[in-house]
Amino acid sequence: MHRNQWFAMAFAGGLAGMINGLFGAGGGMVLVPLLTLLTPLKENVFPASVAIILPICLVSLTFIAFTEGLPYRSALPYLLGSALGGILAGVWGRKIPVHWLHRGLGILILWGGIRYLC
Amino acid sequence: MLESPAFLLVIGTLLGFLSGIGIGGGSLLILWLTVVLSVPYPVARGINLLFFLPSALIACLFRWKQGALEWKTVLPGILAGCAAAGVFSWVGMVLDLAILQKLFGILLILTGLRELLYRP
Repeated sequence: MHRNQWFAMAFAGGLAGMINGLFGAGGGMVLVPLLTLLTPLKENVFPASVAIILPICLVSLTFIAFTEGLPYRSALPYLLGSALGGILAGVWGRKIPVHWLHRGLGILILWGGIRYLC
Repeated sequence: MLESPAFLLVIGTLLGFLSGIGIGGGSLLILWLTVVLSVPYPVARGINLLFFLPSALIACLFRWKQGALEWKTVLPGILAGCAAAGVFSWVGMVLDLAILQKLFGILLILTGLRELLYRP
């Protein structure tokens, strides 16, 4: 791998680790645009981003497990749904036109952000 | 009704699907937990991190089998990301919760704007 690309990948991963470590979410929000901008991955940016965030989440979870304890019981229904949703996305994800979904969810997330600030 | 296991499973499936196709499922889950169900933010953070694991593992396996994922390429990102996650997980726990939530609000606004301005 080219040296610049190595640093770009490490920079993007480091920033995603910082955001995800702080908030427990949002790593993909910085990682996907940074990898698109700084690396030649193109259509493989999304799988690369998931592969980077997965171990980042494991580190944060290990930290939480040793300090606050993991909320396994509360998370269980969401975990099952996450697995099911992941399979559905793997099978049908590429066939769905997601353009309009981005807009709708953008409004929802924006509203959530304003609620957190006010 | 909102907290029945069946309904939570449906919400989890929907958000897992959105995460799987690359749309901010994690941000939405934290919003669902904190704003709708009034779950404390630190608990919501733990649930969201756990939530990401199954769909991410499945997505990684699918895309690795399709040849879209090269581990050697992403290794620097994984190493730097894990180091930063270790440090900032600690920062996230010692930082005042009100400040952390305001910062998260800013992140959500930026994420929302990015989704609104999305171009395929």
